[in-house]
Amino acid sequence: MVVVYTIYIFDRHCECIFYTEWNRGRSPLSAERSAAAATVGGRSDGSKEPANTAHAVDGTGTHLSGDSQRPLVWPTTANSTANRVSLESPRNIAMEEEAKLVYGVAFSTRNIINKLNSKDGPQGGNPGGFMSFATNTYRLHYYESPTGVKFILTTDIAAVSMQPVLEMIYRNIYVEYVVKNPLFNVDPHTSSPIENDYFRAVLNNYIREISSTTTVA
Amino acid sequence: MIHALFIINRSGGLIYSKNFTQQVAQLSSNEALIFAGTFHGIHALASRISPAPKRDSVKDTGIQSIDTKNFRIHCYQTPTGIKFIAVTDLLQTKLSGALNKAYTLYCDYALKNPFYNLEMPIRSEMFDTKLHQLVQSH
Repeated sequence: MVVVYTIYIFDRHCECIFYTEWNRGRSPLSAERSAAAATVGGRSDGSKEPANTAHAVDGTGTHLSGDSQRPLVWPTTANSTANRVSLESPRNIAMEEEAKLVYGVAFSTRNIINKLNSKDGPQGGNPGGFMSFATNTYRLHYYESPTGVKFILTTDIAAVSMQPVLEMIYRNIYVEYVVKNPLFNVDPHTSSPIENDYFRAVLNNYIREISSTTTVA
Repeated sequence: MIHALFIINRSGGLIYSKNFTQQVAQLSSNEALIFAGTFHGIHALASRISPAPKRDSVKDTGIQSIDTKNFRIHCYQTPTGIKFIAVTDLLQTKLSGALNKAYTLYCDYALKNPFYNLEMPIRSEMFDTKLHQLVQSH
């Protein structure tokens, strides 16, 4: 059974543009989270999360209302509403710190692997083919698109290769729902978080699907 | 097949590095030091960013293996904080046994040498030959 914990998407500017979590316990870095959860309401219980996402995916319309139950994306630019910032700020600090750590670890790992890889490839990108690393509690999977968008997925250690999954997320979900959106920010010098509810819903659906199918198999 | 082996001391310094095949790049001494320092850092950070639900009995010990397209990196950390890092081909799924033996060799041929300074690079011919034999047998 594949247990998916979190997904991070980083753009070329090393900026985290998307984050979602599933099945996640409390991490030491987001200790203040419970306080934030209490103000938002109904989020302190982690087991409720799958039910909420399922609700959103069903297309009942509630997920568009910006209600408190959907998984969070934290605002990184000024275009998010002030209300939201104040609502989620206690947690955002921790989460943003954590995203930076995750990015740093993945990026450094990729770099030392590129160094070790003897074949001289083009500079930049992921010529060394860093795919994942594992500790005794989780496994972090890494996928970098040719344009430099980085997808980081954390799962339990049993999930050995999630490369096809990450490529599928990039190809059929990110490109279709984010890049092909006419409102997509095409300016290469700025980054903006993904705030597309359809992207979130489809991604949720897909992650739920891979979690359940591998359970059956 | 083990392509290369690195030993990193408690503070992230490189105390031993050796390539056994040509499959991975031969790092210059400077690059090897950078590799050791970077690995030491990500090893420590990886345990801090664990997303898994916390259990009291299970503590994250840091990176155990890294998978790439062409090779796999295994890391074994001893209770005293020394890291044995092996770069192998993709067929090696578990290497803790061999790295444990390398640790035994380190104890026997480096630590038991009265002239060996702790945390300093290992320069011992016996250690080299024994390690070579160990790598050959894998």
